[in-house]
Amino acid sequence: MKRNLYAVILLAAVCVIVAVSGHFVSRSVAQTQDQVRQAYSAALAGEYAEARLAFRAASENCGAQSRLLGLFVRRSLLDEINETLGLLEYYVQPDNLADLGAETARVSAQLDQLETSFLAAF
Amino acid sequence: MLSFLTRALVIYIVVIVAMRLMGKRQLAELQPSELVTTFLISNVASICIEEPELPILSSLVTILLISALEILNSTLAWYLPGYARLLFGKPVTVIRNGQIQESGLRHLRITPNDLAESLRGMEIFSPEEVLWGVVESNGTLSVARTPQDGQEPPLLPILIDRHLYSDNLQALHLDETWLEQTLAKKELTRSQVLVLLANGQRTLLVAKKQAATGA
Repeated sequence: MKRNLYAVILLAAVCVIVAVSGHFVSRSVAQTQDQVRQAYSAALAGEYAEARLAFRAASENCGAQSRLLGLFVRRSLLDEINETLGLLEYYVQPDNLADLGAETARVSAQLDQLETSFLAAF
Repeated sequence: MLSFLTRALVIYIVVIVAMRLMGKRQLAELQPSELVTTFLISNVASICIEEPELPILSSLVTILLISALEILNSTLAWYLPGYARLLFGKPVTVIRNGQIQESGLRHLRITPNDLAESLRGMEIFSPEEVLWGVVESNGTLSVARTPQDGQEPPLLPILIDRHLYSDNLQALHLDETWLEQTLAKKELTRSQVLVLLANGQRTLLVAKKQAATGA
């Protein structure tokens, strides 16, 4: 029956879409996590200018990826991550590293939550 | 604002494609599982349009998945009549030879008022006018009218795709021995019969084609 072929094609399309989007979400989250980690390491090492540039790059990169990520995950999660990432570069001060650590941990948790929201079975 | 328009357009196209792929069954009288599918798809589509925060792909994937499952489910029902009866239910006789079958009404939780109303909708004002009245699995009432003088009685289903209508067999004062003899004359088994109808005077037997590869 021709309709069975349509059903198989639909199921295959669903599998492909879920696999590709899952891979994209995981890759984007991992990339952003790496950028944030490297920027934080630079801040801890006293390389404040480099850290600010790295945080800004992470924020812009995540913002750009959010256009596509918005197709796969809730927009509110992306908005929270982008808001937090946007603030990080301003915390890069010699006397503000504790706050920077807290906000970096927050964005890391939000990124993990983003990935979990896509991959969760229920 | 733009997201509403975009989502509405995309979901509209996808739902039309999904309904088209599922076929005309979805547009005719709906079986329970088909009703569920239609409700689910419409709800998912409307929620996706109304909630721009929800990722559109999750709704599209859900609609495509439900459509695929509905097609495969209906194919399974086609190949397995027992599964079809489990999924869709089976017709229940509510009028036999002009007599209302209260057990059938009780089974369906249909009141005599509901039955009378359905009959009036068919311009039948007395159950005596009905030879066989049956509530189909989609909830509609079908009737075979009592023949007038000189008219041939309507053909009643005896065997359809391995499902035996034993109450019709009894109503025509026939039994399974008659059935086996009728099939033996045509050198057929029950599984080879597509439709077998009878009215006590005439029998109509349609055998399944040997090379069944239809669309």
